[in-house]
Amino acid sequence: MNFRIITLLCSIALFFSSCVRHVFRNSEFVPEIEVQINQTPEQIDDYVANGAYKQCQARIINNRNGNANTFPSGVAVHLKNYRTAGGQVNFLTAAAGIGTPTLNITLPANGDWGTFWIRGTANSTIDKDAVIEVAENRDVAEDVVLARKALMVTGTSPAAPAAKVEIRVGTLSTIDDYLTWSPTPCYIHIANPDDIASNVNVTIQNLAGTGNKLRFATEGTFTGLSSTATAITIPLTLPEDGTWISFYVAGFFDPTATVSSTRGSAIDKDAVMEVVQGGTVLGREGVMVRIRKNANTLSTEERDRFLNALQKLNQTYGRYRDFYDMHRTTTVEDRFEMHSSSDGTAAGPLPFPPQANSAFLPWHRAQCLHLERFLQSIDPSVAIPYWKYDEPAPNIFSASFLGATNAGLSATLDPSNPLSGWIGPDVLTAGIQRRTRYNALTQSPSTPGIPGGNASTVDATTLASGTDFAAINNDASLPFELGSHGPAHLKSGQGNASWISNLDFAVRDPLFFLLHANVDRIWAKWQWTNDRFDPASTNAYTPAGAFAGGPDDVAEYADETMWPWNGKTGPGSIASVLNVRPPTAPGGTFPNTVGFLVSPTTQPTVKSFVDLRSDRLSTTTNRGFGFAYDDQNPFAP
Amino acid sequence: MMIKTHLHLDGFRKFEQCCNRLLNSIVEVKECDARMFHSSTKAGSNKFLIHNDTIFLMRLKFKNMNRTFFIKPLLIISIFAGMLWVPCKAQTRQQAQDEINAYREKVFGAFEVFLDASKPETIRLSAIAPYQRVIDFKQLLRCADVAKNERETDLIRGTALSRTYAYASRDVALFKGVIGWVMNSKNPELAKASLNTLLLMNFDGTSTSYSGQEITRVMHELTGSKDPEYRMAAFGLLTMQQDAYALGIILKDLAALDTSRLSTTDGLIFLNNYQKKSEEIYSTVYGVYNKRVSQQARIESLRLLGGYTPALETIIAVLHNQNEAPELRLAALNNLQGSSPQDKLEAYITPVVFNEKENETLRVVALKQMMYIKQSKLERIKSKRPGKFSEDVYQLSQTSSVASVKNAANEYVLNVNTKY
Repeated sequence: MNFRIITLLCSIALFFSSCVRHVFRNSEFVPEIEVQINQTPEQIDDYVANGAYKQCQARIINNRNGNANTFPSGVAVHLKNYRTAGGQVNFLTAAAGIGTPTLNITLPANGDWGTFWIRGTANSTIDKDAVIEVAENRDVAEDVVLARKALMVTGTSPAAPAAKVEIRVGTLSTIDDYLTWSPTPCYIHIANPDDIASNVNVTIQNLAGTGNKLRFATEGTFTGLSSTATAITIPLTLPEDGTWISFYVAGFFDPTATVSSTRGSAIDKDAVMEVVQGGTVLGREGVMVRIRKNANTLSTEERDRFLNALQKLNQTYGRYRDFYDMHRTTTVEDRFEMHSSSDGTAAGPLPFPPQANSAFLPWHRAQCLHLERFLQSIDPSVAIPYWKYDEPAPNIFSASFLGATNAGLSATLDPSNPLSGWIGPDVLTAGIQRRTRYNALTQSPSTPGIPGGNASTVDATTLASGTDFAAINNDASLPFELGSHGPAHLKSGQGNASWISNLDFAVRDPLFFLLHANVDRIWAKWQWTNDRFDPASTNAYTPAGAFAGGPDDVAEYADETMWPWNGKTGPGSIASVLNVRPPTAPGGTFPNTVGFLVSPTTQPTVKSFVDLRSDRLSTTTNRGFGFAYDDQNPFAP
Repeated sequence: MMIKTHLHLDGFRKFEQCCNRLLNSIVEVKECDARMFHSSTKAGSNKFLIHNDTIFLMRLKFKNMNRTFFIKPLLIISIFAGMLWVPCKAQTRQQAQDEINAYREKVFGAFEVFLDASKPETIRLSAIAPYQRVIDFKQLLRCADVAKNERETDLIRGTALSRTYAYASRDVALFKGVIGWVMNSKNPELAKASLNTLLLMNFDGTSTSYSGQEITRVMHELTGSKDPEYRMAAFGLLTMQQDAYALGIILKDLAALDTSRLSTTDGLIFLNNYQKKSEEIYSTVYGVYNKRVSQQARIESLRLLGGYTPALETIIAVLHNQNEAPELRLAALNNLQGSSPQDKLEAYITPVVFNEKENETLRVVALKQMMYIKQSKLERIKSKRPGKFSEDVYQLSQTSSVASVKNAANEYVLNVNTKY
């Protein structure tokens, strides 16, 4: 790709990046921040010795059209160490004293650099294990994370090479440095072209000791939307004049992994790419392979990060209730859209609508991704884990995770569990109302003989239900909704007032999202097995097109936008299909994020969510939507 | 030697290959029936494997029998290797499709056995025991017919219905059958499957206005069932629907502490399902709390009393009373957290959080929850200083002798105080 195209793409990216709205307030732009260690863009000097000082800087990079009034008072930010182990730094306003583990500074409104100092306080064990977090600290904004920058605290940093390179993953902001199995565009150039007389041949590879989590591809090596980066190393020639070169990076789906959750990253910035020229290191950049993992096998740290983000969304920001409101059955339309609904007639249960629950799968895929993006604004390293409900999951149903069943209604939670004071929307007491009917330590909703009947939730049964969408949406059996998902809800609390077993209240229990992430995982697995990713194909989704009765977007049809993200409201009456809309549309438009600006659009259609590998409807790259599962490689042949 | 284990098919194949390699012999593997299995377990060279409930006969033919001495340990090792072999997941789309097709065929075959009325009941039931749902649509319809067939046994009909439950909302005759069967104690298996069917229909919203009314009518009747499982299911479903009839029964029983239908605890639990708590609900629950009821019932009462002003002083007193059980005090704390304005909550928990002799769990829970509240921008807008509570937490982070409290206080300081 030549320089002009790169420049054009960067311009487009900058234009869109300036359009990113705050995930929690659509009226507000989210500041995008660039952070430089040692006040240089190249990574080869991102090292600080324990006890030594290093000057750093940060600035706003998305002032719209260069207008300094985008953030008229500048952006107050809060600096801290993201990790609690490994390399640590203190922050200072000058190279004097020992500093503090946190620091508040304000970045200038006009995009000038704001400076601060760091001082190493604990040695790293590996490169990039010290991570500086930059979070919002303005009064008008919640304390969402704006950037994370990785470095190393060491006394033995690499020798300065002749050619210094700058690596960008996605945009200039580090807030999109999160990968899945899909390819993410990266850019590299020589940052000191004046010192270089000829092109430089380099190799991109994984840093030794970081688990080979990354795979790479050069520009032009893809064979379409169904391929990803697969090379363990790639050669690149960096032009001497400093022109940017593009390449791609993706998480490595290790087919030999025996525990799926060991795939991908365990913590932010633990996947490190390295640029070498012969034996000389020219630069390293830390990223994260962020995928949805089996909740039962999460590490303690992964689990607690998820729980903390969830509780913060609920208790601190008060925005968890958006998901409760958008799911709660307030009108017939709600059910019409996202759950099977044989409204029928007063005479009997037949006839039922021809496509009873078509949008069940894409609607809940959208809801999960919406929540996930909210959680990631609190902690970018979080992905929704899934509850594989055809296997016992003792770790999920424990006091340190989502709560253990006891004699009472409120699940037992450890005092140190972030959810220990969980307050469900519209509830006036803390606690998670769930009493699982089976022994969750040894059984699952699929275990034969448990109370609640024999309804199957086994993956294989669902996957075997058919090879095209019409089959899996068969009204007679509804294998996903009724065969798999319904029993998982119902058996986890049926008959004893558990939230999860009540359609109206289920979202109050965070287990809801682990359950639906699993439904989505099975759908994704079915899609891969049957190659059903093309949203234009009725084998992948049906009904196609739009509702023949008018432009009311009832969101059964592939081309229609989905409530509540389309903002369409109505009286909530069932007198006519044209006015069944609920009176409110909770949650606002669909949140876009840096790196996923139009994936999907803010008012997504049903078909937007058919292909999780690539947002082929909005972009020309196949970066997807920023989520993937630890047990399936959608790019496998 | 009999080898009884469960192997994934891929693991089984690997095992087969392993035996071939190690023994330089021919390993013959074929399916056999249960009779052969039982009669042949003493046969010297015959080995049996049970894989996915299919019995395999494995006949080993060693080329050089003199090597048996060395071979046997190797065989044992290889068998264990096979047992421990991690099932390979399909790596390619074709492999995945093949596995799914094989599974589908297996389920289809099993249901053919089940649907064959000429076969003995035990054979029919055992055939589909591993498969909890019929996949083939035509078999689904036949299963529904079996459920309706009065000439079939109760167990067969109940099992058939349990495999077709999602279809009941689509088949008027089947639905009407379910409505009748659920109250027929002469067919307990069919009744149980019917109950589960109705509950699932209700959950998923597949019931219509007609069937919904029918389900409600049946559930009203089941509140008086002799079987507690049916009563619990009925009250659960009805209270989720905000049903006034069920509410009346529960309140009446709670007021009289009548446990003939539901235990006091379960009655209180079901009241949680009512979104709007009337004065009648609150006063009844408060009345229960003040009577001599079990601790669990008191805890559930406290859960329900959130926001009920007449009970507020009592709840605060429970939180502060070190003689009360910690579980009850935690319920009081939870109540106050969910129903109090934040400034008042601060006052309620202060005597607990900053008292080193207080219950550790209560202190940590209260600290963590205040930490989440105090991080919000609303708090930062309110004041340019962290406030007295936060300053006291800072002192706690420096001085507390209780490790968990100190940790919680440190976390609080890092996440709250440092932003000012």
